[in-house]
Amino acid sequence: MFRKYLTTILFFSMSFLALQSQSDSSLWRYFGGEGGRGVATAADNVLYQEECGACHFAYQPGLLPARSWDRMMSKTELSDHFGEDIAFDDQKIASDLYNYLTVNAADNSSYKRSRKITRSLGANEAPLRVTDTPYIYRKHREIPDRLVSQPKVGSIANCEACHKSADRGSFDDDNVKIPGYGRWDDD
Amino acid sequence: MKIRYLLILAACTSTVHAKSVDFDQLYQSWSNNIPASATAAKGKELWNYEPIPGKSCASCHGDDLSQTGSHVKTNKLIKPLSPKTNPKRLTKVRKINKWLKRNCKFSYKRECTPEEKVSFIEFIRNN
Repeated sequence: MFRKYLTTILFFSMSFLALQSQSDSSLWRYFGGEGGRGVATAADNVLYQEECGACHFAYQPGLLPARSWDRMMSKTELSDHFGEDIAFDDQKIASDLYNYLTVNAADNSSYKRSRKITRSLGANEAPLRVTDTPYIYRKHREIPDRLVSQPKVGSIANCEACHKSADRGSFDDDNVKIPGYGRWDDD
Repeated sequence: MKIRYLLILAACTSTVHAKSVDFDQLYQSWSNNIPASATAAKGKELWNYEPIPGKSCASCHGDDLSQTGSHVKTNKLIKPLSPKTNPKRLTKVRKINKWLKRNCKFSYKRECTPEEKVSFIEFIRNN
């Protein structure tokens, strides 16, 4: 009797652990549906939202590999961040951000989009723009320029303009609504 | 038990209200000799000054500080700057200094002078 229970318990705990090891954020990742299909959310990191998300969409760490974030957070790059000097006075903040970005980077994530981004890149490629990763570039290639350059969008880098759940790390077609156009089918 | 709740409540409210920014002290930290020309009116005048085309304060924050702004390069929405509409504004010295530095570099490619900084803060405080 006792042995029977033990086997059942062992079976469940083994499968639970197996699933856990596959995941980024435990049960949420497993039961969260789109959570596991997009990229891990960055909405829960207040520091990142305040420091980076104040000026632009808080691109989730899982949108670029660790080597890209490593490059982006270097002194040289921070003093010329897409044309702007955003050097940090507070080195603690800079290193906290660095750790957050690299630990949760695409190549350290098991989320679907993160894996696809990683796979699309050469081992030494470290792009600074999410839109320069082959996977993301390919995904947006067919969108007409006029829809991208319109004032409400501006550029492909403005994720939230069309991806209505981008802040949650969900980039599914179902949640895409291009201003002045509507749903976009990626087929 | 009740006392404990009261203490927690007191602790919470005190952290919210304990530190309002002492502006005179803040200005002093920038310079011991702020010229009389550093005023809200001067700040208003500078608001639309753009030595680099399309990169004035107003380019991102708009002319009406009670309204939501939009970043001129990224289109990211920026919550209103006016402390009257957005009570969180101008409540932390660290943030004031951080943003003055970052945004002066954005608009002027240099840090602002104490006169400019005081003028901006006075303008924001009064709008």
